[in-house]
Amino acid sequence: MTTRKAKYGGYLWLAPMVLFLFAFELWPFLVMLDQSLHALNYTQPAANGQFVGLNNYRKLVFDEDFFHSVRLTLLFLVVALPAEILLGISFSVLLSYHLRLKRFVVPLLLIPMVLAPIVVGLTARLNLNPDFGLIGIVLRQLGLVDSGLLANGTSAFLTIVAVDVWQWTPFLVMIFLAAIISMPPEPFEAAEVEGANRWQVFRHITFPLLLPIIMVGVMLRLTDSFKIFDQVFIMTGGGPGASTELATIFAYKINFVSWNLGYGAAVVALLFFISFILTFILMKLMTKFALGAAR
Amino acid sequence: MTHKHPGTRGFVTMARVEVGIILFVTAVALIPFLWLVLTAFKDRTDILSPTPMLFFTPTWSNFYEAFVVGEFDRFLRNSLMVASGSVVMCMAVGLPTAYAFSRFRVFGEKHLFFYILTTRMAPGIALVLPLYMFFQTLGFLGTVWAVMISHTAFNLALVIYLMRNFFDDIPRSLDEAALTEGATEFQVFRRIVLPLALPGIAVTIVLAFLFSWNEFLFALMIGGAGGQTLPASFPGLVTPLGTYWGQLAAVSVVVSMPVLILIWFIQKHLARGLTFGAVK
Repeated sequence: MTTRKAKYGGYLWLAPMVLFLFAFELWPFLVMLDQSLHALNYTQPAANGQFVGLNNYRKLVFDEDFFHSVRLTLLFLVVALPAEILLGISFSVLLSYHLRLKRFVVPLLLIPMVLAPIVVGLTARLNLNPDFGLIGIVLRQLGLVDSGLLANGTSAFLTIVAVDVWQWTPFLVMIFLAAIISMPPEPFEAAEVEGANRWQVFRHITFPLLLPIIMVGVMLRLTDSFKIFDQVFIMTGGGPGASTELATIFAYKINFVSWNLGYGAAVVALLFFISFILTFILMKLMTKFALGAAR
Repeated sequence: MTHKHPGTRGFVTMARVEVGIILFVTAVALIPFLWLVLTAFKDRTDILSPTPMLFFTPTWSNFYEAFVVGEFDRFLRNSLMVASGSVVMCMAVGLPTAYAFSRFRVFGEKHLFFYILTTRMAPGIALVLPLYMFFQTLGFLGTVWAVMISHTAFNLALVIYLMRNFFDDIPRSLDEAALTEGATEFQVFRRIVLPLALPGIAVTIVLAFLFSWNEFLFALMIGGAGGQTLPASFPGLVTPLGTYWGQLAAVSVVVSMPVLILIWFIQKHLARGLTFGAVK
């Protein structure tokens, strides 16, 4: 890939973006950092605007609710991610044995993941309603759950995980299947000649060839699960209690429910810091797996 | 294109079980949403029926209640304005940037990419709060323009990354040939690279449009009263007096239909688009 030198270092081409980034991303971010050093709480206007130094951050470090929400986000990742990856691999491999079904199955599978996240959350909430939701009625008549899955802390948490699995496993199936289909046929033909069974073929050919794409899937799901908000917001709003209060929901509540914007700015700054680290790791991994270099 | 997987033949019974599993999983993926779509066409008693109603007299009343009585058509207008406006902004800013990243050695490419990627990695709330404070200071809070700009801010990363990926597909020998013929860099961009990248541009436009169309949190907080889009209107239908399931379902159907239609057109490119070009 050869690149050429542009006049003036190419800044004329980059000018629109640089202007946009400074005006609408960097500048607002600095405004917010500044805010995190001040008191600003619409429910306690007396102290507003007062410079408080790092007090908001000091408070954050000792905020048990914040750490609870970060723990929940991590737990969410730890449960949802392996489930999605394993289901995604199994189903895409299964589908690769029956490729004639692909034309019919894949477009339908795409539906959950392209719906607006808020529609996904609403769909789940409607279906899980114990009184008139499709899944809720079935669960109640089976005598499994009486008052609905979202009424109890543990089941509500597992339900938001399940909804994430429902929404995003098809995405992984889609990219894994695309990768399996474009694999070179030679190793598979050789394996057939050797009389290898399906498991051996998967273990020694499909899986190793699929690994880079699995890493892509892991990384994308990792960052997206860290961001999850809309679905949980409309399904549980963080409840019951604080059992589904993920870090993003916590940050929302501090800012736009308690209107404690000074402290909230510190919370958001820390979330930003976490995503900086995630991005950094991601970039390193992308270089390591030569992501996109295979194209 | 495809290859045979050994072991497929000779397992006829197993093959049937497998097809059964595949169809079952597809049904699981589909049925909850179909239930929501059916709900949109049910009247109140059918929606709240404790036995699942598959056969009922369909009604448009939920759509009428929401879009005529509730005047949700203004949210629909906002949704269309915000999504198309932010696509225009994304393209105006993103296309030259992507071209530069694809063709030139530009200053600080690595750092800019890190910066752009961070806006994609950061949770919505981390991007909303700064913009909320920013637009509040400027007095733009609660306008479609503020929502448009904030959607551009988070979509720009996708547009730049994806368009660079598509531009990279176009052989550089074409540019070089044109440049030696005396064409300017802008002419190469305008007359050679852009026309050849048209399919990629179309895919990028559809994705950027859909991400804006589906977006909830920015539209809710920054849109306020004047710039609310359809997704942001959802919480308003969940009231202390009760949840308006019929209207929520009707609005969901209106939000989802353009998505499903547009995705149908670009489904071949969806894997590439949603993985930032890592999968083709």
